[in-house]
Amino acid sequence: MTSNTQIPERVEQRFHESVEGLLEASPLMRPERVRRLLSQVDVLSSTREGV
Amino acid sequence: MSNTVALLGWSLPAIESMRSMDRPFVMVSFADFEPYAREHGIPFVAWNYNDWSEQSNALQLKELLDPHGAELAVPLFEETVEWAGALNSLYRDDPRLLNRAYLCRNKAIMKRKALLAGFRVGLFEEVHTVEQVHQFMKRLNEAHLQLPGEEDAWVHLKPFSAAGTVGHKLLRSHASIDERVIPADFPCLVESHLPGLEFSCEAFIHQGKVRFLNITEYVRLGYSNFVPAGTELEGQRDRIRAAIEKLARSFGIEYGMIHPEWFLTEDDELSFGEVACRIPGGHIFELIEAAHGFDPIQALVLCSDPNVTDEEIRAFFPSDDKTPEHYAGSVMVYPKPGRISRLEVPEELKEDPYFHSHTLISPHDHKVSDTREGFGNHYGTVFFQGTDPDRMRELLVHYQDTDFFA
Repeated sequence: MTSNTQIPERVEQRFHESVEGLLEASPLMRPERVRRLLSQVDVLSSTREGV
Repeated sequence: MSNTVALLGWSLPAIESMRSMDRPFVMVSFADFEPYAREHGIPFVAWNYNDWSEQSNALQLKELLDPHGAELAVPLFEETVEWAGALNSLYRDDPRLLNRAYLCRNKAIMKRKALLAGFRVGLFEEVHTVEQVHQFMKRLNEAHLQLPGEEDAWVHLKPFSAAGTVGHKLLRSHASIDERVIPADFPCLVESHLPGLEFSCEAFIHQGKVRFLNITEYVRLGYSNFVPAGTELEGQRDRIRAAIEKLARSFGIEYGMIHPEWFLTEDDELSFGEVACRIPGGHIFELIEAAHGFDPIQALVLCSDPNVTDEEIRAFFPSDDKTPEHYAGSVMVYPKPGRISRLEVPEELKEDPYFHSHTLISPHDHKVSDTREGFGNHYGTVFFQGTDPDRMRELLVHYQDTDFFA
């Protein structure tokens, strides 16, 4: 468990980029974009602030 | 600009890129993909690339593509390069385009051509038997003035026309030749080991000029690399660019993208490894997009098209002299042999400022075999972004040996 008390800016920025990437993706690329987004949700949920 | 582009092979990112480019295209691939293409409204022509005969050749393929208005063929994968060459020979009425495609498909021919052009290449031979591999290693040992008890010279055995590391065997001794070389390997190429820092270039060429040059630093071939390369290689950019221009000139490449691999030794000797004319592996295109900010598949299509104007090309690419804001790297994750049942992403990775994202998923319980071809299948990729190439290299070295599965 990490001791971070807040979500770093870069994590937030990458998360938003991935959400955008997923929203823009056609059904063809959605599974890959979902996987990438999930890995960032994983990072976010490890912080004390959670998602 | 030519009309419809025939993309030879199958790639979802390529389809996505073509759609956002708003340019007509048709995918040409094995019939297995047809139901998926139909379901998703993807223009498609079924074709068996393994069958080149009187009844199945570029003339027949062109006939199938004519109703789609295709005037340009772009190869996505290694096995489609000669088909694209044949089609473009017909579209542009230039038979030499097919020969150039063959040049990029046979490692022995391309090395001879590179040697004739004045590049430094390793010693190489085409071999047909195990005994010839032994003889090759013996001659290398003689050239290295080997004394009794000293190690044998390393020999790389490669199929003439496979992509990347498929079928590649590194033979470190006469004993390993007997253990690892099998009759199905022949005929093939054997070559001496080239020392030095290995890297690739992705050179986008239009009207015979290099319009954008990316240098990719290989941290470990088949596992990890980053874009653009670190300071040691980027410091040699002018020299590398000159070598690429010479390569394109001597190979007669006017349009498209080339992906040559090189070795740079500590005493600054540059050696030619090999060159491919299709999308590189190792997520290199994704890294180029992340670091340089343009879509390399669109770049490949634009540069492959002789009718695209100079202005369009210049408007598309950023300057390649400027170091991008950040480096983009990736590690392809291979599970270690044995039984695995779950994914374990290290906490330290998730906390690292360079960690971007990954595509790993939790596996079902199964046994990972210790026999695999090339590097086998990777189970996903970890992506990194950061501003310091040395830190990037350190991370990739660390995570390429990390076990992500338990």
